[in-house]
Amino acid sequence: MKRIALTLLCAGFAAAAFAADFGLVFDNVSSYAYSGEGTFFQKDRATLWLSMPVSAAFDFYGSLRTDYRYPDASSPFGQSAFSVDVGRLEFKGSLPMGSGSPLALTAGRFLLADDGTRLLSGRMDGATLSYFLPGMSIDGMVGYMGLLPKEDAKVLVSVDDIADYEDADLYFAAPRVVATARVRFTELFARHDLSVTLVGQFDLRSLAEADPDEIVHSQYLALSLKGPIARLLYHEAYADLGTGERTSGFALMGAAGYALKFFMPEVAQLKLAFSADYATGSSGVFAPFVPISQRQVGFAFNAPLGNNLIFGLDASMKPVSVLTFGLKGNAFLRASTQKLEDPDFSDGSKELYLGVEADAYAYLDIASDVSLSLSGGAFVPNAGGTYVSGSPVRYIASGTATLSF
Amino acid sequence: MSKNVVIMLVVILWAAAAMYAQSNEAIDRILAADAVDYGKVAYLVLVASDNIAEDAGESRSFEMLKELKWVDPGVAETDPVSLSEYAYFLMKAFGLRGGLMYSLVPGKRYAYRELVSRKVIQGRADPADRVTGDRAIRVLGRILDLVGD
Repeated sequence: MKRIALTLLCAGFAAAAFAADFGLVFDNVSSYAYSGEGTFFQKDRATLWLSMPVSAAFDFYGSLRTDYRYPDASSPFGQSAFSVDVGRLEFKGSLPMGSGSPLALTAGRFLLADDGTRLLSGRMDGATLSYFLPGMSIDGMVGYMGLLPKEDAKVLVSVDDIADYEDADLYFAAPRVVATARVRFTELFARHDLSVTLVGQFDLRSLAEADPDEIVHSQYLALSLKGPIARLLYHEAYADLGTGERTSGFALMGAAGYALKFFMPEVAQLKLAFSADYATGSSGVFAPFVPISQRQVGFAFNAPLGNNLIFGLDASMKPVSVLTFGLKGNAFLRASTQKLEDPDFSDGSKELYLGVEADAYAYLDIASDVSLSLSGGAFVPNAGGTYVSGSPVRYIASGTATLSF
Repeated sequence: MSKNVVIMLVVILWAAAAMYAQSNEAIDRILAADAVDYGKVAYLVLVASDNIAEDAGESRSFEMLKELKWVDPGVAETDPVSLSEYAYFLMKAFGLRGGLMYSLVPGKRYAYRELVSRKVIQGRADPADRVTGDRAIRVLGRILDLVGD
């Protein structure tokens, strides 16, 4: 009996392996940043992936990645140049729901982002469910972040998170449950889509020694509206309202923004965009805005989202089918006079203007399996104002090459 | 009628128009197939790419496929074709340039990747999938769109 079972098991794996697709992707990232002193960063990543159907309605996708980094960073085996991680481990499919549309299910380790990727983006361990109805869709997700590398999760909500992030001996992110629920209305009015999302993160660590002023858990209500306003002209607006739970009470925080986009496909796919983004600082009833996954608001300017007012212009075009080229400019202000966590910050400064940044970027798709991207930027700080006199211009240059086998 | 259905119908009609010389009966047989075989695919691809006359028939088309050495010598005309093999025939018949790996190691593996990358093969797909007649026509329609036929 055991032999029969073993034979059937081997046959099953053989059939699955026959149907599987697999490959290897090499990425090389090199960057150099200057902010008074130069730092060089190098990362070489090899990702082995496997994709296969597991049933008539379900597929599996898994990837394992190994990294070489310079300088050393945290890894499952301490500070090291090398690291290994499960990239994705995803079961995806649909469950029939009677006569209605099927229920889409994803479980495992998958990629996730909220609309606009302001609150939460990156990988997540958990499950999502999506259901589509005429003119609308509903989806929900529950995930756990404690098995993700802290560098990827980049959760810097509480003081403990920041301390853990800076602790070289820690590799994993803090144990934390994240849940989202979203309703999307397609073409609700004047071809505009409305999205309403609830997002919450709950720290599973004990609060016994928490700083009374640090935000521990946080919840957000995110609204997003986008659609065309004329031929070739589109716009989108968003508003996020968040509450942060402290041991001493609640903190209120918010972010809002607007973008106007012009797209002319017949002229080398020309895209022009103007954007304005605001995230609360420590002012009045508001606390500094803190998203779940932290992201940098500039390229050379390495400040996080929170206590910002940013005006941006972005222009890109595709002069030939394999090349995308763009220029970007941002003016940065702080939303309140709250002190900046920056070594060049001028203590006591009341100025809001922080500086201006100019970036250039190019993506070259040499072939379907070879691509190259180059980007560079310079941030000119408001030296003598928000920053101390003589604060240097900050530069960054980065290049990424990808080869797929 | 949804936009996708309209687009699909236009593509099918366009593909059909491009292959106007092919026998309606052959197209009907292909569309009705749950899994197209080498004979049907050979006829469809070689006629659409002007490599063979429309009256050649499936057997003659399959022989030509063998003469061109695009198929393994051991396969039979009635054997079902996988999606990656179909991708390879399309790449060869229409003379499409692939990526770096296809240039170095031309074959069904990288042909499939190329057509997925160019969004010619869409939706849930696996290289080992059997190809329905309906899918074969839709994929061919996108190839004709790509080559500007």
